[in-house]
Amino acid sequence: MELLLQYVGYGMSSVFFTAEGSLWLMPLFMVVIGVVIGILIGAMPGMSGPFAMAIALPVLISIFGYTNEALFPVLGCLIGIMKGATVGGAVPAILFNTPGTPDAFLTTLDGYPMAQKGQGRKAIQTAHFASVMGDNFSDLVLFIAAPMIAVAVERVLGLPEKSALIILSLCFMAAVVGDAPIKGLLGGLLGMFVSLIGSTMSGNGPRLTFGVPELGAGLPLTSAILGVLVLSEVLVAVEDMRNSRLKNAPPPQQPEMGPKLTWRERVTMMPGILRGACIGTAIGALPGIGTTTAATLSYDWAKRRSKTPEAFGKGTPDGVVATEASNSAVSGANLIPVMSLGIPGNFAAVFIILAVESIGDFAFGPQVFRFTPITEIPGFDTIMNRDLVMAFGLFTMMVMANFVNWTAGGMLMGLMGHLVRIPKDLMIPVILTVSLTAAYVQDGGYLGLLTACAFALIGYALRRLNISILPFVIGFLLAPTLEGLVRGAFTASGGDPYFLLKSPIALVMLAVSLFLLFRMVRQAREKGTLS
Amino acid sequence: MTGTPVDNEAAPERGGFWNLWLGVGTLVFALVSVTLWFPQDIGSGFLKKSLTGQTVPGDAFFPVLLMALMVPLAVMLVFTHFRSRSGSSGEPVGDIGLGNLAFLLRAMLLVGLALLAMNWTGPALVWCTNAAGLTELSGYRAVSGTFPFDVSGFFVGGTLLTCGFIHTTRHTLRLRDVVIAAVSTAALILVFDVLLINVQLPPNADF
Repeated sequence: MELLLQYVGYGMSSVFFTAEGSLWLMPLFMVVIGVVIGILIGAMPGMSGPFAMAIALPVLISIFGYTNEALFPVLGCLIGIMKGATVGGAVPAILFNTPGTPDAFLTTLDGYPMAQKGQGRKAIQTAHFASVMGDNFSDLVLFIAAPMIAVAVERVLGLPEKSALIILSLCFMAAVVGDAPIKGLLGGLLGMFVSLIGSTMSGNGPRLTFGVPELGAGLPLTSAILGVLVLSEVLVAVEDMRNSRLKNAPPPQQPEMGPKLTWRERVTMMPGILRGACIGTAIGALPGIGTTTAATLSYDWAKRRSKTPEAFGKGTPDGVVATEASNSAVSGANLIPVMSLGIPGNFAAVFIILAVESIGDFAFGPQVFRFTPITEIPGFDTIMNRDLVMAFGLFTMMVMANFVNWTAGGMLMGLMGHLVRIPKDLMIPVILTVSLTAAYVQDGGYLGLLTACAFALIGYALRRLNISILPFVIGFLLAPTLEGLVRGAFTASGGDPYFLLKSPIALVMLAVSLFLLFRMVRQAREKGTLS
Repeated sequence: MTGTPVDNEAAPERGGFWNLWLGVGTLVFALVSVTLWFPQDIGSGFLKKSLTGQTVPGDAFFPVLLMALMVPLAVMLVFTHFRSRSGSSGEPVGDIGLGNLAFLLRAMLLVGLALLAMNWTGPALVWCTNAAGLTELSGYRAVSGTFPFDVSGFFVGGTLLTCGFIHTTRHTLRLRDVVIAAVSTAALILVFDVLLINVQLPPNADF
C-alpha cells in the first residue's frame, strides 16, 4: 500500500513539476485547452472527438516534439478533447434535434422534446450532470481495474497466451462491429499486413517495399491513420453532400431555455446515473462495442424499470440521464484494455495509443503496472518503474479534465447553441485542407501526404462496402506487437509448429476465437438471407 | 467517425457481387503474394537458422501466417455468397459504382491540381520578381524559408483545394466561400508557420 501511494505521489507530481523540480503548468493548461476544444467540436454537427484528436495530434507533436517531456501536454490535450466532446455533443442534440456527435444520437429522443417544452436549460444541465458523473464513475473503475487486470495478465499470461489474446480481441471486434464480420476480420488482417511494409524483424532489410527506398523506414503511422479515419470520412461526407443536392436549410432558431436544474432534482437522478454509468462502463471495457450500444441498452433498461415508461420519448429527464451517463461512461472504460493490455477498443483510444507510440519511450501494456520497489541511490538517481509513474500521471490528468468538465464545461455548454449554424458543406472542405496539411507537416513531406491519400482511398472503399474500419485500424496498430509475441513464442518453443496450442489458456482463447468465427459465418448467412 | 450510416443507393441491386469479388480477390492476392511477391521482396524466408543453430522465424514468417488466415476467411466469403438463398448474396455489403469512381477521380484531380499549384506558385513568384527587377534570386530554394515566398504556394494551393471541395459540395462557389477558404488557409499559415518552429508547410520540406 505504501509503495502504491508512493507511485501515486510521484505520478501526480510528475504532471506539475519538471524532472529538475520546477513548477510546470503546461499539462494543466493543455487539459483545459483540450476540454474547451472538445466541447466546441462536440457541439458542431458532423464532428466528433476522434476527428478532432486526429487533427490535433500532428499539431501537438509539431509544438511539443517527440521527447518524454512532450507526453503529458500532448496526452492532456487529447484526453481533454475526448472528454469534452462527449459532453458537448448533447447541446445541438437537445436544442436542435441534431446530435453533435454520434454518442448523443439517443439524447435527441428526450432532450429535444424537453427543449420544445421550454426546458432547454434543464435538459442541457441534466445532460452535463449525467455525462460528467458517468465519466467520473468510469474513470474510477479504470483507475482500479486497469492495474488489477495488468498484474493478473503479467502473472498468468506468457507469450503464446498474449498472442492468443490479441487474436481473440480482433475476432471479438470483427464479430461485434458492423454487419459484416468476415469482411471486418479480413480488414483487420489486411491492416496488419499493410503495417508490415518497410519493417524488418530479423535485420535482413525492409520488406514489402517494391524497391521504393522511401518506404524503407515503414509507412508514416499518423498520416496513415489520419487518411483511413478522417480523410475517408471527409470524402464520404463530401460525396453524400454532393449527391443530396439539398439546399441549405435556414439556421434553426434556439428555443426558450426555461428554468435551471435544481439540486433536489440532481439528487433524484443519482440512481439513474449510477445505472447508466454501470452499463456504459461494462460495455466500454469490451473492445469494439461503441457508445451507441451502451446508450441504447441503458435507455431501454431505464424505460423498462421506469414507473412511467410512456413518458420516454416525450421529454423526460430520465431518458437524457440514461443515455448521457452511459455514453460518457464508455470513454473512461475504453482505456481499460488500452492501459492494461495495450489493445485499443475505439477510435479515441487509437489516438491515445498513437500519441504514446509517437512520443518518448513509454508504451501501454501490462508491464506498465509492475510495482518495482523505489530505491534511492544517493548521488545517482532513484530506481523505479517510470512507466508506472507515467500511468498515474495520466490518471491525474483525467481527474483534472473531469474537474474542468465539471466547472467550465457547464458554463460553456450553455453558449454552444449557435455552433449548429456553421454550414457543414463549408466546414468539411476546410477540414480536408487541415488534415492534408497536418499529414504533410507531421511526416515532413509528400510521403506523409501521399500515404494519407492512399489510406483515404482504402478507408473510402471500406466505408462504401459497409466494412467496419475499426478492425483495420486496430490490426494496423497491433501488428508489430502481435508479430513480436508470435515470433517470441515460436522461438521459445524451440520451433514447435503447435506453439500456440500447447498452453491451455491460449487454447481456450483460440477456441473462443474459432467459435466467434463460426458464429460470424452463421450470422453472415442469416443476414444474407434476410437482406 | 460521425457514425452516420453510409447511404449508398445502388447497394441493393449491385452490392451482391462484391462478396464474391472480395473473396476471390483475396485468394488471388494471397496466392500472388506467397508465390511471387514475398520471395522477391522479403530478405529472409519463412524460417531460418540462427547463429546458434536454433530454428527462428524469418521475416516472411508473419506475412505468410496472415495470408494463411486470410484464405479460409475468403473461402467463407465465397461460400456464403453461393450458399445464400436466391435474391441475396451472403454477408451484407455496400457497393462502389461508376458514380463513386467518378467522384474519386474528381477528388484526386482536385488534390493533384492543388498540389501542383503549391509546388509551382513559389518558383513562379520568384520568376516574376526577378523579371520585374525586384529580386535577383537563383531560384525558389534560395528563398524557401523567406516570407512571402515560403507560404505563397501553400496559400494559393490550400485556397484552391478548399474552394474546389466547397464547389463539389455546394455545386456553386460564391465570393464569400473564396474568402472563407483564403482566411482558413491564412489561419493555417499563422498556426504552422508563424507560431510553430521547425515545421515546414507544403511544398517546402521537398525543396
